Parts: sequence; structure tokens; C-alpha cells
Amino acid sequence: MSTHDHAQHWEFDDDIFNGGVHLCYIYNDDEERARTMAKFFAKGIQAGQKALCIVDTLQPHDIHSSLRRIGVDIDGREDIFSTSKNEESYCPGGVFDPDSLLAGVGGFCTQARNEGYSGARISGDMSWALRKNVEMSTLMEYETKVTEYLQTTPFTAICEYDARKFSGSAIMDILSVHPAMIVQGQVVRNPYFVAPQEYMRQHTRH
Amino acid sequence: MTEKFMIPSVPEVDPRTLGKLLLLQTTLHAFSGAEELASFLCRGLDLLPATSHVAVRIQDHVVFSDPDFEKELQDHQICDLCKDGPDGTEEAHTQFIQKDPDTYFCLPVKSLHDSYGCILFKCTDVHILSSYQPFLENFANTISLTMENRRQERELRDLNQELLGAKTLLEEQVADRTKKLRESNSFLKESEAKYRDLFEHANDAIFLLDMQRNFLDANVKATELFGFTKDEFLKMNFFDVIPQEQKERTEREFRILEETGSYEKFTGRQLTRDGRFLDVETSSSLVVKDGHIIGSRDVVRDITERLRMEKKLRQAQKMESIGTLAGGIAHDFNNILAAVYGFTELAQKASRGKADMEEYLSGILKSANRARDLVKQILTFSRQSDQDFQALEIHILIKEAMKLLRSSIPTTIQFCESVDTKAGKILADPSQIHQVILNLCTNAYHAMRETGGTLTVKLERVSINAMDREVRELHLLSPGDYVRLTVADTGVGISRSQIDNIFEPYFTTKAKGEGTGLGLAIVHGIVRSHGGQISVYSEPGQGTTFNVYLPSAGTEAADSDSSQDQEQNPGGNEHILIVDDEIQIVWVQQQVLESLGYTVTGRTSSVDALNLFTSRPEEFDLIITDMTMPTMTGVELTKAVKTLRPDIPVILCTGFSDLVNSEKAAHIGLSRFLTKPVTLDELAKAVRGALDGQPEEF
Repeated sequence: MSTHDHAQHWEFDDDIFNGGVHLCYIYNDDEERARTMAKFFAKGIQAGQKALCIVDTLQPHDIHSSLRRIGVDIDGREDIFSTSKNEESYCPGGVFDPDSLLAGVGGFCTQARNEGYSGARISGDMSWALRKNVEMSTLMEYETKVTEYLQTTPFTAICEYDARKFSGSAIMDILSVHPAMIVQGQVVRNPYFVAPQEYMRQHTRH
Repeated sequence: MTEKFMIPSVPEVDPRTLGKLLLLQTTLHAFSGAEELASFLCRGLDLLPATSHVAVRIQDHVVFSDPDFEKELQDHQICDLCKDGPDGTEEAHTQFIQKDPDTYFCLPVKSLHDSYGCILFKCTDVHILSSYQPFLENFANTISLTMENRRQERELRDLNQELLGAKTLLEEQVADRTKKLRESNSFLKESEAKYRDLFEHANDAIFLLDMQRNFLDANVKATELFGFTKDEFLKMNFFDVIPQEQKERTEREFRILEETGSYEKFTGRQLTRDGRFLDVETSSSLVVKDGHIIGSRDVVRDITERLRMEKKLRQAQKMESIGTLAGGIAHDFNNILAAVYGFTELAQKASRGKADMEEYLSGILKSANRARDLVKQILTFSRQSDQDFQALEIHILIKEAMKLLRSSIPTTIQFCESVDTKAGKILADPSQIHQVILNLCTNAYHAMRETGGTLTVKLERVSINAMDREVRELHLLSPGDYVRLTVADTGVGISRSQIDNIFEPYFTTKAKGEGTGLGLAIVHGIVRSHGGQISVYSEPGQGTTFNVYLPSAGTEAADSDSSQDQEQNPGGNEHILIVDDEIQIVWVQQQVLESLGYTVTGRTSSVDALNLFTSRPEEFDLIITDMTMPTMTGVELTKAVKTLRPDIPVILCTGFSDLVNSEKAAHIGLSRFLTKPVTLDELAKAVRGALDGQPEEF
């Protein structure tokens, strides 16, 4: 990761993704989003990584179709690429619990490692948070914990936020807890990122 | 160097701050709403160095980084951030900033075409922020470009929406028109199919002609009737089927059509492909298109069969009339003969012993007998003769007749018999049917007498049902079972001009003295009186065939006993009242009966007779009355006297036996009825039988 510290942006198959990174993807176009996510997963699968796509508005067959369009056919390959429903993943039992969710993410990553994959890629559509009226602070707490977790493990996660649904102010909060973000199909360092400990310190103090 | 020449140092720009601006710049496109964009920018710009507060207005939406800053701006009445200012620097706003240029930094968001908003920074050190001025201006331009793009996208989208709406409307209109056109086409097709169905399946020939009378179309019936195919018709002219002698008249009819628009039921003849003539009735109307006559439609009905039937009916009616006339004449003639018989027989009694006189009177009686036979034949023809109907196996009669004929017809005539012995019974008078067979076979023999030939007699059972239209109409038969007797010869045949008259009485083609001219008339009368029909088909030089249809009696008809009582004619001494409007008949019968010992009172008026009987009812033992009399008929008189004396026997004499049938005779209490002319013997037996109360077999 250190070799890329000074780069302006990265591709999805750059080494940055082997070292573990927490990305934020702000989108407002579903087709572009499907293409971007397909590209993200395709590069991971080609690199021998296990993939999990937590879907919401984007359906499994959408992502399968998008992958097929760029030459990756993962039909029947649940061992490599799997999908799960958003609220089932984020709110097992109907309640959002950042710690148990993080344990789930951790479990998936451990499983990938145990199965011999070189890494794992996870994407999660965060629109469910609005439907579940999750408080912003709780969501930010979860995001900072994910950032912290991924700083120590070779896995990559993308949190997808729909700018048509989240307010501009919320988006700015979201930006502050993701060290990198996808802008126009490319991964860029996030200058608004606040390190987890600092973020927690600032917000706890307030 | 003095201090005033010193150039103030410009703070260096921080790459991290530039990165923030760049991120904001690349992310702002994700926000489609002005409010969300303002909110996002406000939060992001508030984190720039030396910035204490930020206010962002995008279009109508103003967002403040801090409520205190909002209040501060409200206090200066610029919280709307120079909204509606010509270039984002409204006077109050400008004055406010100019008043403290070291604290406030204003960044208008505008393009060449429009103003989209404004960003107001409250700085801790405006110089630091000013070092980012080019980047901030570039940032503001990106915002305005994004807004401009969005506006243009919106306009484009609206335009597209309008176009889509117009397209949808157009498509709907096209779909609607297409649907209507399809429905219209479907209706037209349906209408065309209905028209075509009517046209093709019409029972009459239908033609479409152009103004030159060329065929444009012809239906199926036309091809069936005329024998031409439709393709052949389309190469022909209407005048090709018009006989030469009728062409001028047809031209006239077409002229009438063009003058009047239509004409109906012109009759004439038209030619078929095989040269036959059809009797037709034509109705035509003009075909007009756009005000111009372009042709005509002609409906041609084949009336050949109808005309033949009308002719047949006329013939039948004529035969009926002749029969009625003949019957009437015969009745009157019988009355005359009755007198001749009576007087002659009286004269014979009076002239006994005078040989020459007896011979003369015998001659008179012979002539009278011949006259009576003739009258009987006329009555037979007119179906007014006495008939002895019984269930009859006609094949037995045929066998007997053929045996008789074979012995009298030379062997140059071959007999061919095809008699179905199971043809069934008919209800008929055997002597009359015998006469029919003999008459027809004798005629056949006469037709072949010179050349020899074959006489065919055939008997079979046929069933005529309602569907056998041609057979029924041709022979005027009702549906049912019939026994058909066919008598055919291979003789000279009958010409067309004569064939319609052959059943008329006294019509004959034979030489004088060879025939009476009554043979076929009698046959006709007998067949009709049996409820049957007779038809004839003849080809000159080929022969003639007669078909006689007689209603089958099936198996229910019972044989009737045709035996006749053979009685003597004894006299008596009873008192008899004779009533007849013919005084000679009264006188003759009176003489005859008185000669047999009876007392006789005669009256020529039925009313007078009734008055006499009413005054002295017990005085009379028997009444003999004529049937047809003025004022009161014989039946009415009988009824009247029976009310006075139910036991009085009455004998009714009539020229038309069918006016009083057995049922009617029994009902009115008649003892006997006699058909004129009545011989002395017949009268004597009837009188004695009635007086003795012997039952009569009517």
C-alpha cells in the first residue's frame, strides 16, 4: 500500500486492493453503478478473490448480466461470487447492530482466507439505512469500525450511497469515514477522510 | 528600498485543500437537487482553511454552515445571498462585503447565460483563502457548468418528453387510425364477403355489364344456368346469349334501362352454351359511380320450369272445365234419354205382337243404349260416373289385360312387361283401371301398327317426397307413395303441337272411324278421379311414354265386396209419389210403375209434392224424387217428409251420383238412389226393394 500512497488514483486491480481498503461510492445513476460494481468484482475474481454482493435496489441478475457483458460468467459459481439481501445481512433479526454486522463481515473474510482465496471483496448498498431510519451517528460508528477492521486485513469493501436518497450533508459525513472513494469509475484518495480514532474523538467530544 | 515597495507574500496552497476542492468538484454532479448540492457544498467548503463560516445558495436554496452566521446575515438583510441581483452582487450584499473585505469573500456561481447562486465565506484570514481564488473560481465555474448542464439536460429532457409525448400521441393517432382502418378494412372485407356470398349463392343468375354490354362478372348460378365458365363470360358480350330474333328488342330494353334507371321482369329467351333456349325474366338496374353510368347489373331468372308448370296448370284447368261442361251436358242428356227409354219401353208394351213396330222400337232402344254408353264415357272423363272403389292389386289386372291384348295385337308388336307384383294395392275401380290399361295399350299398338315395335308395360312402386320438386311440380302430385304404371311404345310419337291436346275429348290423330277421340280423355278422367296423375313424354319418330301415378293404398285398405245383387223386378200395389221437374220423366215413370200394378201420383214441383204429402202422409208407401229441382232439392224434400213420417222409404234419382255419397244417403235416410237414365228393370227392382225394406248397398 505504501507504494501507492502518492498516486492520484488507482484502478480496481491495483495492489491497493490486496492490502485492504474501505471505499465509498456515491452514485446517482443505476446503470453506471452496475457497470462500476461489475468492474470491481471482475477484477477481484480474476485476481483469485472471493466476492460477496449485498444487494438492495440492484438485483443479483443485474450484476450477473453486467459481469457477463464484460466477459465474466459467474452463473452457478456461488463459491466465488455470492449475493445476499441487504436487510438480511445488515439487520439480522430486524435490528441494525454494527458489531454483529462487523462480525459477519469478518466471518466472510476469514472464510475466504480459509478457503484459500487471496482476498475478498464485499459491496453493500446502504439504501436500507434510510428505510430502517438508522441514526447517522450509528451508521458512522459502523463505518469507522469497518475502516479500522480493513486497515488490518487484506480485504476490500465498497459502501454504495445513492446521492438521490441521502442528503448532501449526510454524504459529507459519509465521506469523512471512508479513506478512499470511487469517482467517475476510478478510486481516489479521500481528502475529507478523518482517521477512525480522530473521528470518534471529535464526535464523542461533541 | 522602502516598505511600500515590498510585495506581500502569498500563502502557499495546501495540496490537501486542493484535493478537497477537486473531490467536491468531481462529486457535485451526483446531486441532482439544488438543496442537496448546496448542503453538500456548504459542508465541504466549511472545511477549507481560514474559513469560519460558509453560506451557499444554489438557485433558491440557501444553506448556512452555522445558525449564528445565518442570523448575522439576517441582521444585515443579505441572508438571501444577493438573490435576484444582476450578477450576484446586489447592492446591499456588495456594500456588506466591501465594508469588511478582510473578513468576507464572495464567490458568485454564474455562467455567461445565467446566475445559479453564490458562496459566501467568512474568513479568519481572507488572504489565505484568496490564495485559492483561482481554484475557487474554477470550482464555482464547475458548479455553474454543472447547473447549466443540468438545466440543459432538463430542457432536453423536457424537450424529449414533449417529443416523446408528441411521438406517443402520434403513435396513438397512428394506432387509432390503423385500428380504424383495420376495422374499416375488416368491415369492408366482411361486407365484401357478404356481398360475394349473396352474389355467388343467389338463386338467380347475376351479371355485371359495362356500357358496351361486356360481362364484367357472373355468379355461380349464371355459370350453372348458361354452361359458360366465369372466364368465358368475361370474354363475352351479353348479346352473345341473346337469340338473333330478340336482339333488337333487347337493345330497346337497354335504352329503357338507361332512360329510367331500372327495369323489371322483362321476359324473353336466352341461349345456353349447348344451344338450348332458356325462358328468362330479367331485372336490371344501372351501376352509377361518381355520377356517371358505368354499367348495369342484371338479374336473370330461369322461368322455363315455371312457364311449363303454368302451361300444365292451364291445361289442367282446361281439362277440369271441359269435364264440368261435359258432365253438365251428360246430365241433361241423361234426362232426355230417360224419357226416350221410358216412352220406348211403354211403346214396346203397347205394340206387342206388332213385329215391325217392335223392331223399330228395339232399334230406338239400341241407339239409346249406345247414347247411354257414350254419356257414361263422358261422365267417366268428367269424373262423375259411378265408381266401385276397392283395394286392388293392380298387377293382376295388368296380367289379365296383357293376356287379352296379346291375343288381339299382331306379333309385329313385341311385349315387354316389367311388373312388380309387390307394387302394392291401390284403392280403385277395377273396371276403370282395366279400361285405362286397355286404352293406353291400344293407343300404343295404333302408334306402332305400321312399323311394328315394342310395347312396354311397367309397374312399380314409387315414393314421391317433398324434395322431389321436379316430379311433384311436373305431375302436380302431393308427396306420398304411388304405384306407377308406365305404358311406352316405340311408335310414331306425338308432335309438340299436338301433345298438349291429347287428353281433350274428341281430340284424335287417328283416321276417321278409327277412334272416338275419347280414349285418352277417359283415361285422364279415370286417373284424376282416383287421385292420380298422368304424364306423357313423346319424341316424334321415337315413341311415346305414358306414366300413370295412382296413390298407393298401402296395407290398410280393405278389399270391398263388389258383388251385386241379382234381383227380379216384381210389381206391387202400393201408392207411390213421383217428384221430378221434368214432366216427361214423371209421366214415363208413372206409366212404368202403374204397368207393374202400383198406384202412382206424380208432381213436377217438390214444394207441391211436400204439400200433398203433408196433407196426407199416411196415404203414400214410397216417394221417388229427382235430386236437382228448383226451390227444393230431392235431399231437402226427403228430410222434410222424414220429419213427418220417418218410416217412409225414399228413392233419389240423380244425374250426378257423386252429389250423394253412401254416407250422405244413409244419413238422410234414403232407401235407394238411382243414377239416370234409369231403365224399367232398374226402377222396378229399386221400388220393390225399397217397399220391402231390403237394405241397399250404396
